[in-house]
Amino acid sequence: MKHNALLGIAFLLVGLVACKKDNSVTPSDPLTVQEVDNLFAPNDEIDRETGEILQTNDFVKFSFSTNGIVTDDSWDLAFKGTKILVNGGTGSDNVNRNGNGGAIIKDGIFEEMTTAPDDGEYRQDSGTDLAIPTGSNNGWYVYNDAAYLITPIAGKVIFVRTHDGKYAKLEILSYYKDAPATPDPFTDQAATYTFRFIYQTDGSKNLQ
Amino acid sequence: MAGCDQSFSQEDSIRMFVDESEVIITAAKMSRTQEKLPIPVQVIGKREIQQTGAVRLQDILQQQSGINTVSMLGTGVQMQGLDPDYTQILIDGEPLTGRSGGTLDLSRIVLGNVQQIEILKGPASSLYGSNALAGVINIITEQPGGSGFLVRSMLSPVQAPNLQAEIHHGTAKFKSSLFADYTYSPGYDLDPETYGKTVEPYHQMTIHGKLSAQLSTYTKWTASVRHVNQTQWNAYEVTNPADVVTGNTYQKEWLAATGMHHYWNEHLKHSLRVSYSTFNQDLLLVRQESQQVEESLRFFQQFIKPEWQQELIFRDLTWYLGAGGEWEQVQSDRYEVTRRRAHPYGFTQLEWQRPTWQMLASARYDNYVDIASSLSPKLSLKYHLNDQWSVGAGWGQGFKVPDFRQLYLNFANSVAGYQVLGSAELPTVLADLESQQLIDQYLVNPDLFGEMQPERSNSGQFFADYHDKRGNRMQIQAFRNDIRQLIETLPVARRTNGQLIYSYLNLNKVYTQGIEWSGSWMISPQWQLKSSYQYLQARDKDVLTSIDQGKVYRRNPETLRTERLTRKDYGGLFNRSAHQAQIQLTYQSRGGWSVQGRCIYRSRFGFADLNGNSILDAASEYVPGYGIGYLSVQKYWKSWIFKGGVDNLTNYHNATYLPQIPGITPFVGFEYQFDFHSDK
Repeated sequence: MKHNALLGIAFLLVGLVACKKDNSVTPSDPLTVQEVDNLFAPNDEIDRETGEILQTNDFVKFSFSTNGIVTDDSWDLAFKGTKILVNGGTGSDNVNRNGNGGAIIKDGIFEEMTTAPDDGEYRQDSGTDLAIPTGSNNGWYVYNDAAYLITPIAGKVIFVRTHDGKYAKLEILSYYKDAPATPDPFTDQAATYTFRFIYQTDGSKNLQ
Repeated sequence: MAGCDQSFSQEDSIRMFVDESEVIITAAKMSRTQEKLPIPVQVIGKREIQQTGAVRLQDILQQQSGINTVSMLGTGVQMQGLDPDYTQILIDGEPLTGRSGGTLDLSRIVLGNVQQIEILKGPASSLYGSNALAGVINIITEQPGGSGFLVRSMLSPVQAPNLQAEIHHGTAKFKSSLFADYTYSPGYDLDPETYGKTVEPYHQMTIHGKLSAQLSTYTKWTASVRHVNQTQWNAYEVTNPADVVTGNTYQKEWLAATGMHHYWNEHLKHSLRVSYSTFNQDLLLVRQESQQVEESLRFFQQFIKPEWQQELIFRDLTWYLGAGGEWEQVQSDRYEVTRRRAHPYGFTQLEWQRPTWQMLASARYDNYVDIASSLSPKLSLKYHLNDQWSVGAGWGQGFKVPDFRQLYLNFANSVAGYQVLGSAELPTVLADLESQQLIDQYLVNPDLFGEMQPERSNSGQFFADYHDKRGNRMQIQAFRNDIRQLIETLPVARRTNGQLIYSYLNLNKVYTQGIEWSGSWMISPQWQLKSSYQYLQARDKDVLTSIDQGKVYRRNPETLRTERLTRKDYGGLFNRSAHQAQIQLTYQSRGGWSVQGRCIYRSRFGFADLNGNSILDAASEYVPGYGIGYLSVQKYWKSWIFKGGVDNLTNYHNATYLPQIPGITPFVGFEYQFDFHSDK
């Protein structure tokens, strides 16, 4: 009996908490759009003649909850050159994926896409097939081989399930330092991300 | 030379401005005046060519509105917004050979012995087959007559010098002529900061001989041989590692044609023509420091084309029937084996000439054995409202078969790091690479690349025509071309070494439409004003569909945030100007002077996508509009003509996007003609 009573109180509490939560969410204030400027994630340095790797660089791991770079396993996205990893799945890049993260790229306008997609839609990394695909015009960027320029494709919104199962959406704005309107690949530092994102702390799919 | 002494009447002045023989051959494969043709044809006559001092075809075409010269592997012509691949270029009715990447380089065609240039815009596949989807430019050279000779020389910073000579001899039965042109151009440099010139030096020799013999009252035999030999220098800089590339491009072109024409009676005429043409291109570019070969090419193309024609005249009806075949062969180090194709064709045309209206209906059947056969019909009508005004309409279908390059090319540029494969070569090469595990990734499903289809067009036009006895003319025309199965170059796969593999695919649906206006006005017997204008829209239909579905985006250049494109933002196909205009004022004095000022304007045009959505939309993706002024003076004196002038008065230039336009170019020249006797 005593056990049952405790359980009852627990249910009641949960119910209360849930109700309270619902009440606060329904007329939700819009979440704030945050921006990350100049996240520098250089690729390995490669000798262009021989293809030999001169210097290996680590992935730069980003966490939405802290809006900053982390070094432990609580990362959500990891950047290196044009490659972006999620904290979920498997990979051949010596990065530990202990989380249940995932990502899916959707076409549309950042502001208009207010709900995170269903869980079934998220992809995880597997080997060389990344949730956020690499390659020109495959994922988030296009490479202009005449101008040597990486440009984030307009209208690509990346939805991310974080390592701990929360949701975020982001739009990459620039691949070059200080996000110049017309970057010069010879003078502007590449692999320097500027993106904006909305991160939902409460675990819901609301991203408005 | 037209005499400018003696009495001077209104009639004379018209004859001075309007070229004597406004007879057009191209539109109906028969000699017809513009008034009797239900198809508008633009004619550039000898007088106009002489007045401008133009030496090469591109020099004169650059000054026309509704025609655009574009620099893509040579200087090509863009008509009604369609690329150089789609315009057939003929000399005396015989197609010229030797396209690089689809472009027939206009600089290989000199104008010294040209009688007139006929420009037929809109589909002409119903008479001329593949490649005439956008139209035909027929260069009519002078018919030999009389005996005499002519020497001409032009001197300018880009033609230093141009020398021309022509000798002709004729009797009542036998006529012959031989024309030669030599040009050396030191090239020009619009951007001295970079190594190499914008256009490197070249020299070019053209020889054109013509014969005709009246074998009997009813039988005529003609023959002609044309040869062009061009050497083009090349010099440019490369990086990674820094080096300098130099070398020559050698191009040789032969065109030999012969024909027999026989009138059985006043109703029936038969012609048999055979032409043989070759094009030879050799290229060797070497990195000077490392002595590595940067690029090399050996290319030899041959065509044989016999054609039989029958003309049957019955009262106001002319029925035309023709059949022929074309054998094409290409040997090149960029092709696995020698490639050949043969295709038979037949065409028919019915012309109906009534006092108040004309009708022209034609159709041609081309059977390309390995690809597809095509039936190209065309119907044109014209109605004369009164002596001055007429209105007309036309509809036609055109096609262009994939060329050998699009089918069989197998070219790897290891230096620049890419490979281009014709669609027929692609499957075997991909299978081979796949078995060796050399393919990193497919960028497009390779199964999409298969049998290639001809590109096809469906076109319509309306026009209204005004002309009066005082020599005033006006024409307004609206046109629309819908093209489907347009062949695009697409990256198919990436190799493990990072190199991209490109191939060709029938992909796009586009349309071009516009309005063209041209007019000439005799202000006084001495003054003539001419002007023309073209408004053009050229759009990719698939892009329009995507825009309507709200699926096309771009980045706001300031906030870098994504915004959705509207139809208004879409600038259409690259390298097309919405507005093109030309105005020209000519003064002809009684004393043999003529002075001409010309101005052309071309509005902004897109050059490349910069913001990553692969379409033309941002202001930074356009080359700004420009105007160019020309001035020329000519003096007739006895058997001499002296001329001088300045092209590009305002020194407009754009080394990157308009390398074919040199800066300010003064020129001088003379012509001396001697006739032993005239049989005119």
